[in-house]
This record gives sequence, C-alpha cells and structure tokens, in this order.
Amino acid sequence: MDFKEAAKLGSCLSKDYAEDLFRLLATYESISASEAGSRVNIHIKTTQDFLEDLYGLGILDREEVYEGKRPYFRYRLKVKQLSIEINLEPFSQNEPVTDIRLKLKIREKKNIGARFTTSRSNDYISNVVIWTGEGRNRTERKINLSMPQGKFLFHLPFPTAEPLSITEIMKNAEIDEVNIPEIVDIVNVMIEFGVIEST
Amino acid sequence: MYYPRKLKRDFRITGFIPAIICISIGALIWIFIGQREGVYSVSGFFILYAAFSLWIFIRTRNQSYLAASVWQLFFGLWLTTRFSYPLIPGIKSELLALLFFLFIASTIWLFYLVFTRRAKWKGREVFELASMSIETQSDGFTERPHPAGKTVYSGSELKGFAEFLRKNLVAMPYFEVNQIVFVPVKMEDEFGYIFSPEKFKQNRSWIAFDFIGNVTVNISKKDYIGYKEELSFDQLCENLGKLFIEFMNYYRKGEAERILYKLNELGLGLTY
Repeated sequence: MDFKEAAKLGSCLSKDYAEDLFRLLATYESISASEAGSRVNIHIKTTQDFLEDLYGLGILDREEVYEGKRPYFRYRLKVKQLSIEINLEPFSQNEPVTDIRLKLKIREKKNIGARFTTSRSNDYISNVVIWTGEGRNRTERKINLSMPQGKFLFHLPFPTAEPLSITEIMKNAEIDEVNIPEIVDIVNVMIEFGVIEST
Repeated sequence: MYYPRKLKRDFRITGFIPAIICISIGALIWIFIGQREGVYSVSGFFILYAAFSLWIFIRTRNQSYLAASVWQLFFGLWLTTRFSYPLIPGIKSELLALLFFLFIASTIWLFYLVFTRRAKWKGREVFELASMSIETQSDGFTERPHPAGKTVYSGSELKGFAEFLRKNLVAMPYFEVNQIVFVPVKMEDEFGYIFSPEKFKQNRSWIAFDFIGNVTVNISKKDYIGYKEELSFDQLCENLGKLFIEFMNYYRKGEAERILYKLNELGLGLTY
C-alpha cells in the first residue's frame, strides 16, 4: 500500500460511523448505500462516499443492479482483515552525499529579512522565520530546526564574510558526520527560500 | 594618540533631565512662594536624589554613584543652613563647619571620579574600540549572533570579570544558568538599564561567555546604525568578541586596569 492509499484508508477508519458500517458490511451478504445509510442513520451521500472510497481501495466489491428505472450499486466485503503496511524506505534521503555538495561554499544572503531565533543558551538557532510574497499575499513561514541544524546555521558565515564549505562550517560547529543528510536538507531549503547563497 | 571616531555623536541630555527638573521646580517655588521655600525644595530634591544615587550604587557597585549620593546628601543639608532661619533651629556652628567640610570633601571626591572617568558608562568606548580598523561594507547586517571563539577561564574568574565590568560601568552582566551575558551601556542609556534591566537587554548588543569557554556576540540594529558608516558586520562582531576575550585575558593575568586604560585612552567626552 502506498502512502496515499494508506492515508485514504486511515481517513475512512477515523470516521465516527466507520465501525457501524463495517459491522453491516461484515454481516450482510451485500448492501446498498441507501440501506446502510438508513441503518446507521447517516446521509445517503455520506454513506455512498465512504463505500466508494473502500471500493477504490479494493476492500469492497460492487455490483450494479437494476430495480425499476434506477440502477444502483450493492457492495460486498472482499476481505476479512484490514492491515496498513507502508514502506518508509523511499522517504529516506540518506542517499550518499557527494563531495561536491559538501564542498559547496555558502553564506547568509544579504538583506534577506529572515528572523533567526536563538536558543536560550545562545549557542544554536532554534528556528528561522521567513516572509514570502508581497502585500496581502505576504505569508510567514517558520522552520523549526533540529539541534545539529541549529548549530550549523549558528556558524553560517555572515553576508559580508567569506563563504565557507558545508564541511568547514560543520567542523566549526562540531557537528557529527551522521548529521550530514539533515544538514544538506536544511541547506537546500534555505537556498530555496533565498536565505543562503552559494558560490 | 588620535583615534578616528566611527560612532555618530549623541546629543541627548537624559542624564541632566532630573537636575533640570529639580532646579526648575525650585525656581518656580522661589518665584511664586518665596526664596526660602525655593531653596528648601531644591534641598529636599537633592536629598531624595541622594537616595536614588545610593540605589544605583547598590545595583552597579560603582564608586562614583556612592560619591554622588554623599555629595547630594551634603549639598542638600548644606542648603538648609543657608538662611538666618535654618530648617533645624539651634544648630551648632561646629556642626555647620563640619557639614561644610564634608560637602567640600565629597565635591573633591566626586570631581576626581568624574574627571578620571570612573563615573562614565563606557558603552561608546566599547563600540569605538570594536570598530577600529574595520573597512566599510554595505548590506552586511544580520540579526544572528556570531560565535566569536573560545577562551579559557574558570567559573569564578568569569564571575569576578563580570563584577569588574559592572563596577567600572564597562558592560552590565546578566547572570544566566549556563552563561553570563554582558550588555555594554552607553552614556544617556543608563537610566533605561537602571529602571528596567530586563527590558533594557532586549534588542541590545551583547557578549555572552558560557561556563565552558564559548564566547558569542550579538550586535543589535540600534547599535549598528549608531555608526556613521556601514561597517563590515562580520568583522565588527569578530572584533567585539576579540575585544572582550582580550579583556578577559587581562583580568585573568591580574592586569584588569589595562581594560580601563584602553577604554579611557580613546579620550571620549565625559558626558557622552
């Protein structure tokens, strides 16, 4: 199951009426949205959406039946058990960081207007607030930093200082090499927001 | 030795405002009520001001505020004896002579401290020294603090250093759990610090020494625009950090007087 499907199923399961509808689906050989909705006392459209979502996820089977003028669907439970299994491996950005990326010379960009909030102990940055857009569309984006990221930004060269490589800054900030992926990630984000410039 | 000034001149007269108010009220009382009442009111103000100076002395441990307090007290008392109908009737002439002597002695003491710059808040000197030999460079300001390096000292040395800087009005220390933060206070800003130290610290420049030897510097926008020109911001932060590390080294070697010598050598005015 991919993440989107899992999220959809999670959303279905979180509904107040989900347990009652599953009980009906498990009890009945097949059931229509109108029957299920009237039984659980919820709107037919709400029931229809819920059953369609489960059909889309492959949990239900459906059959179109014709009684009089209007065709409608009857739903049948296909499975006896539900399980959510998501592979988180693809989310990891722990791809090998190349030497070129670590040698990238960076420093804070001039006149960015970002606000750096320091920790109580004044030895790392705890968050960065960046403003984007103009006028009414101006929005504030606050990025909370992990401790290694905060230490890294604390040692980032000032706008008028000589740029330093990521490796040099990490050395100054005494950051362990295991934190390289998250450092590279925050550098990318900061470059994207125009807080950091690379040379 | 001549040092070019990098800070803008400060024409504020905050320090004189209490004295101006006090004398103005005394003058009005003199005009509308009478000469004797006018002088007595000024005398009362000076005695109250003596209590205020004593309070500042307790906060800063700076000798000049004790001297000011003593002088204001004796001046206030001396004023009450200036008429043929003194406030305290039947006062002995020996006591009056003693009072006059103490007034003159406290005046000499106070003048000595003022002219030897012991009474001067030395924030301007700190920022002038930090800005020496820095080139101009625009658009360098950032609100981030700057890690200024490491140095070696013990916890007790740091606390002693903090007391020294406070006593000599170089920078006011804020004692925190894992560090001591020093905030240089310029002349005319001192009342802001005295009345509300916590509020004063906000948006000010500071130099922090933690208990494991790290030194961090932050220069506020207010202080940065206090310079005539846009100076290279990273160099300025670095210099300020180095300056305080140098001060700490002097203190550790028992040569703390050199700190005052360096600051006084700039020859800035006594009132700004």
